[in-house]
Amino acid sequence: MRGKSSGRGGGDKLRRAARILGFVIALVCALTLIGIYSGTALGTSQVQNAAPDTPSNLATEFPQAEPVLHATFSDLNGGQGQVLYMVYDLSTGGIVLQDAPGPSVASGSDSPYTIPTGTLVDGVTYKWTARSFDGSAYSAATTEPDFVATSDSSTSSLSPTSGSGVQAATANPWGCLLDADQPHASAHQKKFIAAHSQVACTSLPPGGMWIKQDQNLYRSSYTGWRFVAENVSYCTSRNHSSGQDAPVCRPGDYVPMEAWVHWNCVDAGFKNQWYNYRQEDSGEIRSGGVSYFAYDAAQSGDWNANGTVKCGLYL
Amino acid sequence: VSLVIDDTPSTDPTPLEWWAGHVIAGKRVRSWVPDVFERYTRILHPAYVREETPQGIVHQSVTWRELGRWSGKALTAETCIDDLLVRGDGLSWTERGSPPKQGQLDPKYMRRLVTLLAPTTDIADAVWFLVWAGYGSMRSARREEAELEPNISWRGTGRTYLLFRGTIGSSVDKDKRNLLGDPLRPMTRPPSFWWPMHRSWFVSTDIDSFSTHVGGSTSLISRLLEDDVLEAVPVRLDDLVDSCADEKDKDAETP
Repeated sequence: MRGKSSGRGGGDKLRRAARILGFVIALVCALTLIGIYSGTALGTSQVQNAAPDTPSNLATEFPQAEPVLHATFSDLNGGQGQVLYMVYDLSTGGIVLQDAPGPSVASGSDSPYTIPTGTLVDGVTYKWTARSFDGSAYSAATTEPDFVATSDSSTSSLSPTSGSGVQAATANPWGCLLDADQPHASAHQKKFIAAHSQVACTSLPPGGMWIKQDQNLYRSSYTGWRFVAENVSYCTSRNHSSGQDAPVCRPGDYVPMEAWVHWNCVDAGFKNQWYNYRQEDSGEIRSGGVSYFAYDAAQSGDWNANGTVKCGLYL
Repeated sequence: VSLVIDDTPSTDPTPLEWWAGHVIAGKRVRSWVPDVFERYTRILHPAYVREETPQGIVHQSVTWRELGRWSGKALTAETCIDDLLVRGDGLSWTERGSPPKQGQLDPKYMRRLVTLLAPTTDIADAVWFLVWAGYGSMRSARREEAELEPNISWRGTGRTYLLFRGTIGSSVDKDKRNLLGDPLRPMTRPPSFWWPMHRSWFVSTDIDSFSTHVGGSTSLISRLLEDDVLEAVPVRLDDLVDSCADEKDKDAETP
């Protein structure tokens, strides 16, 4: 019996020790868990997520039919983030795109956004602003919109390069050149943008020379140069001229032909609007059964730069 | 006479400063000539009539008074050339010849004007020329840092200029740089504004204008008005430069 009792007394000790050990283990685990949690929570509260910087390096590109807005995301904390764009109608203030997102990028990288086709309406002027977003905080928006553009549904395929210079009607014996001037606000026809071009020769050409000029006038738009007017005109041996705008024909003179292309920008609804303009002129002279050709172009500024000519000036 | 302009434009706008504050781009004489002179005149660029000769076609100059007689219109200080080039029966002058040159004087008139200006200009003086930068012939000389506007009112007109230093001489100069070297050939760089260093006169020919305005002393303007070669009429600072368009474009604005 004693042995049994004794045996029962040793088993109790073991069970008590096991319970104590289990409690201690559970306590340690609990404290450990509490400690881990507490440490994580403290760590989180000690790191302040500062808002990212206002986007920089704003730019607009026109690689295709629709513009691409560019802005650089930057955040002092480093890490990823994106630029959000807002596009609005300048005249009404109506928002066309709100928080349109550029891709998530590393700090210091461009986060561009391509305006979807069909978003912009032809003939409407837009502006845009941008702000940065790092996943939890926003920057201030850019204070000045980066660009003003007028939408166009049609796109000219013309090169935006500057004029090719005064061109010789190749190998003609009179040294005749086709010389296109820069378009400008006309002081003679107040509502018009005008561009002048002439055939000028270094020696007196024959009075019977046949001359043609085909002038095309373009205005800038964010999709490229946009055609606005054409004038095809002729000077014949009889000095009769034709075309939308009659040229000045002086057969046998050093300047046997002057021609103009005009665009009534006021009646077209562009009064007080600023654009750049480009004239392209193809010329042909014929004499003695031989034709000579030339091309020249001149522009007031680039197609994607701020306009330098205002419509409707009263000079 | 000789009229020589440097090849390279100046980047220093200082020579403009004395008059740039006296003009505001617009439609009146005072828009194009500073209001600092005793008198002003408008030199009317001649039109041309074609004449067949054994040597070929010749373009004889025609005065505005002759055009007025042909068209039955009166000539005033503000006459617009468009009104003189069409008759009441619809006949256009282009059937007989061509209109005046726009933006530059006829070479014969230019030579005469320089001859009349030369005595009032010290040969040692520089003469300053503002040439429109938009001429196709100016591309080789064009540099962004050299392009000038007289003042902010020119902004948006499509008119920036290059400033060249030059001289007026009384001798016959055959140098190819003499812009008056060929009495028939038009200038490749017709100046829009030119004046001597000592500011005794001022000449203005806008790129779109069919006439040239001159400001100067009473004696100089009198000589221009009385000259046998030039056709000139007296004008006041508030006269319209191109009044024909005023009636057509009442909704147009000043810059």
